[in-house]
Amino acid sequence: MIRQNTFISIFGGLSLLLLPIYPNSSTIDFGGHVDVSLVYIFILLITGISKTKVLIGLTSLFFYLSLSDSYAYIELAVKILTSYVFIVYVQKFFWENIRNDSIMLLIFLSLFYFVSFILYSLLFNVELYEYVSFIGIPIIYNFFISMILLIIIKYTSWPRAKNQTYQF
Amino acid sequence: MLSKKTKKKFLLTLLGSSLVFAFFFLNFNFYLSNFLISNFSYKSDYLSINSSLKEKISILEARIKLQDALINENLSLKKTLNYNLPKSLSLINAELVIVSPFTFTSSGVINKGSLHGVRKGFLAISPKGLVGKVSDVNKESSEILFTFNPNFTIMVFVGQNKIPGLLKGNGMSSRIKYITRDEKIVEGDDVFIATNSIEEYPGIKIGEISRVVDYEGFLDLSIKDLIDPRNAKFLTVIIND
Repeated sequence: MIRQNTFISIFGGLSLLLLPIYPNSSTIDFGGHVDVSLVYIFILLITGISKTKVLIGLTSLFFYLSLSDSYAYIELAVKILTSYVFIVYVQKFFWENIRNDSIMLLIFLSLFYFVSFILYSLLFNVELYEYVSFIGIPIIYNFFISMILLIIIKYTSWPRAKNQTYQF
Repeated sequence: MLSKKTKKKFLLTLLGSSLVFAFFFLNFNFYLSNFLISNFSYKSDYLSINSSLKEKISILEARIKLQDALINENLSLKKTLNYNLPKSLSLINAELVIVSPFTFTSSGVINKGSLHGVRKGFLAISPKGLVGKVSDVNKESSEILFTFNPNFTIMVFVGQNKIPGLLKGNGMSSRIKYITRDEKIVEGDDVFIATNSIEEYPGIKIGEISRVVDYEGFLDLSIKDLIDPRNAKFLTVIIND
């Protein structure tokens, strides 16, 4: 079994968490089009759910929340709800391979943007054309960035011992 | 109690994280890359002239890019000078240093605070248009609510008759509300930033009316040409004392 280097993991994790908040850091935010927290949550969920990963996801969400204002709680609630629905009703029913992962990513993003639309149209009277024109580019960016990260993290790394029993 | 090993790991992690933070925060990567190019780049004997010329070209290209960035910054600052501001208003230039990565409730942090004269409620503009409003002020930094943030609200004037209304964010864009339906507003009317009185009208255009909808006794106005504030780099805060 390949031992993961804890130091590098924490170090990389912190860099991934901190760097996207700087607008000119040339990381994965792409001029504000990528919702970094959404990408991280999906990556954490799709690479196997554990208590540590849930904790990391929540920490990153609350860290980004601290940089926003009071209405960000709505977005936080939608993200947590989407993650819960995704774990309970979606992820269990798909066999893990790259095609299914991309389908799950689409479902995850659609779910998040659909729930957000319902909430924002109820609370702020947002119209569909306005919403679609706002999320059109971000949804494409979020999809491709998540896919690229997923391929790098999940499909170009050593298989974990628990995967070997049923996948290889 | 933490074991020695755990303590050591923790300290190493803390040290490493601070180093990375300082490395990127102080732009050491830029200086380091220049240093590496000039001192440690590969030079073969028979192609030494060629490689040294290439090296010089890359250094000159980097300088040109720096100059371009400075020109752009100066141009954007120069444009802000064109605003015909009344005597009661003045400007402070700032840089957007942090942007929260949430989709619908994004806000940013600028590198100017109460020490520089920034106060809560001041507006932040860029040469392309309105960026947001100062919502929180620290000594050396301030938080900016972007125009599409639901907490963002400012007073605006619409059209040549300077009809007052409230520009309010809704998570996706901003709309002008609370203008009674008897006011004559048509698509294409200009929208300007307003201050407390018409005499102090600064004349900074932020967009044009793109859609007029009658909603519960008031007009609900959409605006086109509003900028995406998350892409702004240099801002100007309007000081209104």
